[in-house]
Amino acid sequence: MDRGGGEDRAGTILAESSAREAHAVRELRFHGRGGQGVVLLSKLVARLYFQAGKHVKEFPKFGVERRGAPVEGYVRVSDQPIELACQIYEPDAVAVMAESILDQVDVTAGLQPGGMLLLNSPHPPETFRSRFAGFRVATVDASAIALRHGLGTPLAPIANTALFGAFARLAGFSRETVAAALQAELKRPERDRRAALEGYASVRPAVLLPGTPQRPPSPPPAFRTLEELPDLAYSLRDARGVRTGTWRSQRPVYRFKVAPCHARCPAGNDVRGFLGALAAGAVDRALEILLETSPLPGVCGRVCPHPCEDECNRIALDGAVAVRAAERFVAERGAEPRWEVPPRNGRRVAVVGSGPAGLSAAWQLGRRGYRVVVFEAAPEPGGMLRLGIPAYRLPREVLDRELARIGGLGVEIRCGVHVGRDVGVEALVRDYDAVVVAVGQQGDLRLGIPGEDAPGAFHGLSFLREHHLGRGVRVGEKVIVIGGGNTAVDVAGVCLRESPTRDVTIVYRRSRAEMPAIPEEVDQILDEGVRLVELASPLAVETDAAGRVVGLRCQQMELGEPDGSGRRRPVPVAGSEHVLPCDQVVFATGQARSLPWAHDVEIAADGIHTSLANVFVCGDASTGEGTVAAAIGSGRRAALAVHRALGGRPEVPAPSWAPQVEEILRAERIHWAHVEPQPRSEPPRRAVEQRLRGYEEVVGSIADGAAEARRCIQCGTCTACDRCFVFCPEPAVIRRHGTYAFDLEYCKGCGVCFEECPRGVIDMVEEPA
Amino acid sequence: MKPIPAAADPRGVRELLTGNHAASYGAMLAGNANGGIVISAYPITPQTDVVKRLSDLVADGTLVNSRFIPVESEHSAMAVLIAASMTGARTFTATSSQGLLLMAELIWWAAASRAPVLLVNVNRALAPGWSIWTDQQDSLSLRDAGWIQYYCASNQEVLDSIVLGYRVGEALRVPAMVVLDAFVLSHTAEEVWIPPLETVRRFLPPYRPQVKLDPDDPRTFGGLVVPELYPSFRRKLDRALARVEALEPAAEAEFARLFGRTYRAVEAYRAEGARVMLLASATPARTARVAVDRLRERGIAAGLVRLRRFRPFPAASLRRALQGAQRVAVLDRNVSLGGEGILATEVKSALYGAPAPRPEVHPFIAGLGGQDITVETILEIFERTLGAARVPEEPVWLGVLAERASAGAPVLPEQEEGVCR
Repeated sequence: MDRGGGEDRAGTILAESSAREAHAVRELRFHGRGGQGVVLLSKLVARLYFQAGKHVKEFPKFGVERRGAPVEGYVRVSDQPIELACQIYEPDAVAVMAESILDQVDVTAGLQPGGMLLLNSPHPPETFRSRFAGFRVATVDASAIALRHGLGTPLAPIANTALFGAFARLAGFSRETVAAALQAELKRPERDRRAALEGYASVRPAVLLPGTPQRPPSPPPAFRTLEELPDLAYSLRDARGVRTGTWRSQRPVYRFKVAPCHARCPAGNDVRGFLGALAAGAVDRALEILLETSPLPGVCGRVCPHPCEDECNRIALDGAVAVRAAERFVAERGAEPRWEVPPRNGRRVAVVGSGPAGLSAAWQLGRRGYRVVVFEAAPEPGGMLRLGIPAYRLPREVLDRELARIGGLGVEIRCGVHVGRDVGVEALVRDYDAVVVAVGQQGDLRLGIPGEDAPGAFHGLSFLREHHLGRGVRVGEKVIVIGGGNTAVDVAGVCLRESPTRDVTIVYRRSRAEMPAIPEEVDQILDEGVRLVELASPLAVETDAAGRVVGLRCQQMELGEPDGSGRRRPVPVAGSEHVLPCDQVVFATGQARSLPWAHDVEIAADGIHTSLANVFVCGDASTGEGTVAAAIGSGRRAALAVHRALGGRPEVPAPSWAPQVEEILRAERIHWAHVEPQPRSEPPRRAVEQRLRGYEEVVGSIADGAAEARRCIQCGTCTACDRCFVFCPEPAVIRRHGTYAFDLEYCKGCGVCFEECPRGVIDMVEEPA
Repeated sequence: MKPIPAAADPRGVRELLTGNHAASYGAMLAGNANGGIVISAYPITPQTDVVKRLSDLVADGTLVNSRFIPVESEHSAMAVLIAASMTGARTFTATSSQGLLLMAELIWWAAASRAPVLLVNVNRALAPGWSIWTDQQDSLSLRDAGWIQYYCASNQEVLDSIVLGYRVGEALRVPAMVVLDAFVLSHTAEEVWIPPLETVRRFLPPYRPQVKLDPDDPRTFGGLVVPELYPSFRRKLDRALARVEALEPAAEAEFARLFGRTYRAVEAYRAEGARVMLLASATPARTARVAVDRLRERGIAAGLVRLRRFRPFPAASLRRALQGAQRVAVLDRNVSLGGEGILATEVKSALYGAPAPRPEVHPFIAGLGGQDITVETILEIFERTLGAARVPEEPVWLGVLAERASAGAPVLPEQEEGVCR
């Protein structure tokens, strides 16, 4: 053995032993507090002797592996090969990694009187006079040393190497040997070497404390006989006595997320909410939820391009939930809630236009106690819903039912009053507390090509308006509709039903994939027999000598680079002009808004406020987004702006048991193993020959809306499915009346609940420091 | 599935049942007598009919207040049943061969959890080579796991052993395995009396354990046991198994009184004055009766001892049964590879402490992988035992190819595929 260092205590530890002399075995015990610290300490000590050519055995004693639980390391040293394979009961020396262990464990157990005790303590050995009387005690402030060298934290210093240095000094090893042992055991020993050498230098020499060792009484055995022992191994105390929460380094939190359908709905409908109610069989409640954000579920359930379905997470499994069909189902089957007309608040609001935006604004204001008057220029209310969309897509009785609902709030609709002509906006501003302008886009965008005004040439919106007002528009024998939007498609559908020859062609300058119309609607009229000529750009309407339309001169196009809308820009193909024969052309190439004021009125960036006080704008008149759903959303925002402007209380959502975060729950958070595949319900469609007989609705209702709603995963919200409760391996999920909470006394942060939550309601977060 | 009609005959309903369906109805009676049962199983040839019929009986409500829990493996089946048993449920499963071995980890777990699951194992040889036919290798591989093991010789015994197994196993909180031979019983139809539920109810009390999973008093089950206590738990389980010897005779006597059928852990046949005896188990022990009858007709003092219960091993009863014989032939339909037949070792061990003169033990291995055991096989065993010049050092393997080719004849057919056919 290296006896270098010239210390007078060289060999102190081993020389004091009296036991097992015959085999010249020396035995050491190290007390630690969970983790690997004490294991490394015993490995380092073993290596000291190993380097000196001794025979050694080093082994840990594993207890329950848990932070804070005491564990022990052992080293057995001999000049001869060591035969003993049993544990160590009577050590010659003991080292203790933390003073707090002294209160938990009898560290002197088996230690002979006069045996060595090395303690990690800032106090001198004499401090332990009463506690360790009769033992040889040395101390070193290993924790302070460790912290000085950046090892561990004040709550959990890594004191093993400083204690190791102190031990090596007491055992008579040299500094070089200490450094070599650290080099052998550690990958990056620099800080530990400095700590060990400081421990080596600063250990307080061992002092034999006077007196006789005081042995704590050994606790009585838990069982004295086999009969007392239970038949099977189970915890004698309530399992809740083990506070597994102390193991945690991360914690779960319940957080509701935004469902992607809801995030995407232009009307702001709580799609997940109404589907949840429908799935539970509460169709009346589902209707109530829809009516919170929209007075027109029957309309949207038919004509909405349903962007919500494009975002549905279920696409990743077996197709989006048929949200639109479900909304229609609810509108048809849900009982009209008994609205209590709220007490009038004395404020009066004028709404200009009874299209979806105006109706939405009127609905939200009416529900908040405003006296609302809607001014409509046309003889009947509904705006584009009545004058634009054909009845085979939106039966008029559906629209009338929704209008009746809004009327039920006391909203008054005055038809045949054209604001701007019959009554000025200024007058409305004078007579009402606020004015909401929701006039939509009534003007047809002109292409400006020759022949656009020839007899036999029409513009789409005017055409539809005249048709729907029953003014008997003429439909030719060979009709061309120019455009790719819903107006073009609707015009084509009407022409097909009105034309004796049913010869209707849509001419579009891009290809079908770029058509902004709802794809199902395009499919539908193509099924019905409308032809589509793609990549043809109109140049002129050809007329005969009498000025009658005889054809449409077109230029062939091809698709080039994407333009600002992301769609590929059509570019002309040189020398490709040709004439498509026809006797009628309808231009459905876009709309323009015509606001009811002459002078400049600016619309704010929010698309709601204007430069006129208490005059608001919404719907297509403002945003031009062109869908009923967008108009509904815009109308509601305008109503809320009016409410705020007129001193209404800000509306905060009702608190829930879990916080709602502004995070959209995406498909990767869905636990698909918990989701049963179930094919999407498709609504029935009337046969083509039946459709063409008139204006009966083409698309029917799905038979079982609740079944379709049960396909909704309820992304990001808790359905009280109990998976977290069932899968938690500890009693850490508390369930109470359909709500849940984590008991952090027991949650060990394993993340099983996070993994098993089918719908991403649980997040794991770092444990706060 | 037609429910079993209420019977006027006190013996119940006389039916023609396969061993598998006898097991189904045994479980059904035990389940209904308890007011419900939890069954979990994974199908495997030749056990499938046992659980198929039970799933029907659960589905059509014949089995009241019961659950059939389908799982993806035998391992999970036993895991489910241990958990169910810990809540205080009566539990049942059935398996065979590879399935039993896949369950092996939890076979041990069930016993040390003191979960008195009842398992019907259809004895089937282990692969490879692939086999669906009977031998005892699967269940005997788990002989040390702390389960009661009954080896049945008839379909009636299968049904009755389930009822008996629950009574003894649940009283001691130890699991019980009821074993029947693949095809020879499992797929063979015999006359079986399905006893009236009322009688079963009188014999078999409901399972109501004192220590069980209780959400209102949550405990951790099967947690870490320190080395100081582990041996005591093992000793306690072993003591419980030992108590089968004390408990079973009373149960058997009551069973005989109520049902009119008698079972014993060790059953002797024409043992009186026998000089040479055969020790066998399961169905070969029935075939052996015919062989013994023939030998007796020829004036040879032959006898038969059937080992019905293998664990806990009835050493004392066996010693008594074999007393007086000069030679005992042991028929093993199994082998501890590298050793000898498993029954042979057990018998020798049991006789080691017997007073002299002790019978000689002549071990035989026969019928592995479903190779048929006929009267002739049994007679050959008797003849070899009677004709042996001394006690053999090694077991005699019957029905295997010769060690060496004689007169140049090939030991195996020349074409490889011939072996597989």
